[in-house]
Amino acid sequence: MTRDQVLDRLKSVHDPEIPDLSIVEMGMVMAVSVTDDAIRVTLRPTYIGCPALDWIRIGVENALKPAAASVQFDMGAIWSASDITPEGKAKLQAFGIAPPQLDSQQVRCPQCGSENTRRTSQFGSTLCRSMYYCEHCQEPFEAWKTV
Amino acid sequence: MIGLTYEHVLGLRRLIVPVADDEWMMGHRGSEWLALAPDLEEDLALSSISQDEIGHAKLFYDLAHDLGEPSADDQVYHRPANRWRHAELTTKPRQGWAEWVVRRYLYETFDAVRRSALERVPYAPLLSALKKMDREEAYHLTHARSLMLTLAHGGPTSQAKLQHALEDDWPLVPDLFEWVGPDESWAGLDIGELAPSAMRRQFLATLKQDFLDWSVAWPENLGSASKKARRHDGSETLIPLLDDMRAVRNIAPTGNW
Repeated sequence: MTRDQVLDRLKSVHDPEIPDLSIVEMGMVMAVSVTDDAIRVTLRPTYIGCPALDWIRIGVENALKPAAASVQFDMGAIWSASDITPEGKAKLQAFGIAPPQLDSQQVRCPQCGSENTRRTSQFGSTLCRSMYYCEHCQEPFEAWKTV
Repeated sequence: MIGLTYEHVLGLRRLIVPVADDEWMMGHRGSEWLALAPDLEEDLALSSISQDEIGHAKLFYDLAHDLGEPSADDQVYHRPANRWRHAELTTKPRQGWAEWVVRRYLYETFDAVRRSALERVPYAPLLSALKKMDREEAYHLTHARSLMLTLAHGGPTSQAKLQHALEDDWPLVPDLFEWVGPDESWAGLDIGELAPSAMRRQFLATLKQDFLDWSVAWPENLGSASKKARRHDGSETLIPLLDDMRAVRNIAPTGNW
């Protein structure tokens, strides 16, 4: 298997909490090395306490079968919301989660695009999200935390 | 760190395990509040914060394991009560909401001081872990402070509850700063900020300013640490806590999830 083929297969591994997004689009894949007898994949967690890490590790191992891959998490590696790829951000928005908006303070509603929104809680249904309310369409929504 | 000596390794293990234990216990006690918080937003916040704390504890246990301590699973599920090194404040049984708000604020303020002091320890794996944690902990501290402000400005009832909770937690605060060191294993390293007296001074400076800003009355002068700081032989609360925390593991010791 080549490095590109490995990366291609990793696109089929998803974070169970955001089923539309692959770990590649999330920016979690740090390094892939392929030698004659070994595939090594190094990932970084979005959040240290992410409960899906083991699930993702098994997902990567399964995606690369029958090749045996060693998958490791670099727990100290910094991940930031800006590591999500543009395709990933578009998918987040389509899924109903406002992608991180690093350039402006105001979070745009993923439903109607209005900037007339306010944060109702710093914390959301998973570690990586905050809760917002859109004053324009009068719907609550979640936004990606900007760490 | 160039050439980690055996003394450095021992010193690091003694330094890291109490930090892990504090984080673990705050995460565990936080999880007990789930579905009991006053509103849904707070319930979700608590689930995220507690999950973060447990994740941080696991990372600290892993760092200690790399230096020769037992694994995270062994530390949490098999360690006898008298070998835990958390500060007693973190394991106080659940009382009212105000007490939890005050406890979180005291702990997060202390933890920010401690993390900043830990950054003086020249051990690369610890430093990169701290850097990543800082980004998550920033949310915890902001949140803890906003809840304190809500109580402080809520009216006479919430102010009285805050003040009462503060007086209740206050005697346990001095033990937070204690750890086994800095001793000779740290010779030659510039880690003065980790000295209990230095952390305590920094912590009190933050509190004094906050209480002034929020019109919270200063409880009384902070006493000294207890002789048994971070030691729990004969503790009446720890054994029931551990039994409860390990209940599922004890029912299915070989379970996998």
